[in-house]
Amino acid sequence: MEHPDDLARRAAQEDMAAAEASEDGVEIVEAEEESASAGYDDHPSVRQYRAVTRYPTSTRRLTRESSDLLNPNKRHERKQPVPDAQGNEDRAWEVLYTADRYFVRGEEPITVSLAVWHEGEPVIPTGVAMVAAPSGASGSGDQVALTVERVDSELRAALVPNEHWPEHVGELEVTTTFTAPGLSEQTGRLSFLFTANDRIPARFTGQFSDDTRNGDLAIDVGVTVETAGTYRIEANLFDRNDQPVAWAQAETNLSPGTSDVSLVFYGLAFHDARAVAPFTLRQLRGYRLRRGDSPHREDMPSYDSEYETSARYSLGDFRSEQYQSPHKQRMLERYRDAIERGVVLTEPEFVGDGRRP
Amino acid sequence: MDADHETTDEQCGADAPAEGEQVMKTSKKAARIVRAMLMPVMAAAAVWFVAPTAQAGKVGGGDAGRCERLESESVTTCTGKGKNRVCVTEDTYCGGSGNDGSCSCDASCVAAGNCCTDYEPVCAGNFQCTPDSGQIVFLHQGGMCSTQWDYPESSDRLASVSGISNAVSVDVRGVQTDSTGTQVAAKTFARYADACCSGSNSCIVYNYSNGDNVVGFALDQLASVEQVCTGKGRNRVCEDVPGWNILEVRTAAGNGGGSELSNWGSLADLFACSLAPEISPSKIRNLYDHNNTQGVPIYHMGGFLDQVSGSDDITLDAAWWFLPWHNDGAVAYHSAGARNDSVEWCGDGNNLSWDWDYFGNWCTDENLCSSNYGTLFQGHAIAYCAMLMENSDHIDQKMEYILYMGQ
Repeated sequence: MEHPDDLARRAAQEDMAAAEASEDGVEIVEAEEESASAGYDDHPSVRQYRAVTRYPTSTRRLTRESSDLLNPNKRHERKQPVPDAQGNEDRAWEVLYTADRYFVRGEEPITVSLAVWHEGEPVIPTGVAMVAAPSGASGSGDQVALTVERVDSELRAALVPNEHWPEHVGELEVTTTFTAPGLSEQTGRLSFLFTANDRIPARFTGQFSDDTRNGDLAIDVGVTVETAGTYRIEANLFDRNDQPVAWAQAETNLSPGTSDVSLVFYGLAFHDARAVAPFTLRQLRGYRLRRGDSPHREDMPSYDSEYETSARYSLGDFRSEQYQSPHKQRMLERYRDAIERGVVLTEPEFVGDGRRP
Repeated sequence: MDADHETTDEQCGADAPAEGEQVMKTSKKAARIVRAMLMPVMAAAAVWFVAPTAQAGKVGGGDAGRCERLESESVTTCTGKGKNRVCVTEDTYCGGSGNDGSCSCDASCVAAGNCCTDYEPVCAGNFQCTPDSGQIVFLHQGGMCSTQWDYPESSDRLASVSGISNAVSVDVRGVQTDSTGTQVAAKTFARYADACCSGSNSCIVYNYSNGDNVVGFALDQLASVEQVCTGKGRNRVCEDVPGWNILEVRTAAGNGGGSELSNWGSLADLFACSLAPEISPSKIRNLYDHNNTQGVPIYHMGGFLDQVSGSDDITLDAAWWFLPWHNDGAVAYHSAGARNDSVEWCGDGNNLSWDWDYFGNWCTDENLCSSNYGTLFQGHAIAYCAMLMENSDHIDQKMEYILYMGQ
């Protein structure tokens, strides 16, 4: 039986060889997971680490199930029971208090809605008051009372935050109080992250170009920067059949003026997705990082159009090996070291993507 | 959310769950009736306990002072003129009072005994680990309304590392109480990770409840990176690789998906710190990229209160009614189960069956690992799927991962 140390070294050597071959531009069909079927390299936690680091941290596979990445401005309120002093056992009173977006940029409007049910039947709430204000606002001068309209069985209110707080960047709250016959007064709160028009740090120019780079697809995105700083730019990529392929993010320092930012989609993701060119870039978004602060970001306006790449790409243009790096190599050594020193590592029972844990 | 800190009447009860469970299991229907009767009590409590100084009946011990400082709280001081002009922006409250004046961040606080909880890591640079010494450091990050993991008056403890050579367990002293508590605590956590998890050191991170977001936010937004470049000329490629050597993150009852209790004032008010209204699903899920774990596997364990047993904590027991199926009285399965959407188990109307104890249709798909409900955030996995955590409320679960792993 092979000693665990030998297994670990062999796994490490395979990873290093793959890294070196990759740097030489040699395409490797990844076989390391099959090469060691027992011992350290087959430890579930090591398998999970390899799976998690299959791509660089700046890019990852996108699938139809990538709900959060495919819906980057989604809200998550749901029809919810609310407390009532008269008793609300069996969830007789339910409320859905929500809006159409979470991130609000520039002059974008938001629409807030309120719907109430009692024993499953719609109820029109009474005494409704909706008030918007920046989070932490101290005076009533910062508050805006919204005009509430009834649309079918729900109440709605619209607001363009930039008209009221043209200098604000940070959280915005819309607080609603209401009652209904048989229901005590309720107070709900919705939060938004708002970047006023004058605080927009940069905008997309609509200029794009694409090419392969070291076996990956690089799409250069034009931006015009107002405020210098560290930016995160990200987008989703789809193939000719409208199948999600990959997500990529660039984190880079930008100075005022026009710049190109490269979004690099890792080559292996195209193989994993069996993607067919041309590819379409969608849901391009970005923000200026305010690291260690709150709010922690200033948003760029999202780019509502899309960009289609050249159709000339084939899978052969893209690398097919797993991501390798000195850090990954170091971490694989650390797992071995930890096991040898007596650390019990987690053996996950469910990894959620159909793989054996 | 967190519920392990600062003694309250409810938590005293939580320290003796076995007895409580025995009583409740002897009369399932009675338990449900009791739970229904608690509804008006809870609703009334939501009104009674709005005074900031009144903590009885709430979960948590109020807001705490801190030495950690966000940039927006800072004052930039400039000295000199022209080329000699130097500006300094303080990123801590060290050398003076804490952010709210309730504690001190001055070195004299040690002798005076009035240091803010995070004084040692933020001001004294004391992280209870030995940097770059080959140590394996077990960090413990508590949850909402907490300032540490292990409180002297509680039965909670840090993981035992006695069987591991050159290893240490560290209680992360981060203040997670005010409205920016997640970001504040994440900044402090990053200080620990910089000191304890870099160089030749490695880390394993335990977190609980909203500690899920503290660690997740730190990984996505604050993680130290080093730039590694390969190739030459046009083929030169530079990549940012993580500077933290974290082997895995172990999350119990994670609030990474947010808590619906935070949406409604009267519910959020049950938790006695200013962070409670700031952890709604919309806000938490949009706060940071949960998939960006910097390549660190994040493992989760979660539980739920079943249809008959309820919780021995009056607050969690009542709050159970206002959360999606299944839940532990503070967070629902979509959160504890690290789903990338706020899906509700059986919310699609499937897997329901009549239950006489519940006296209604009960969701019979009780597995945290069910693939019927959403997909996990990338990089996240479930450590344990079976029913170990049935009838386990949010408080009970804090120690479950440590007990499960045995270290």
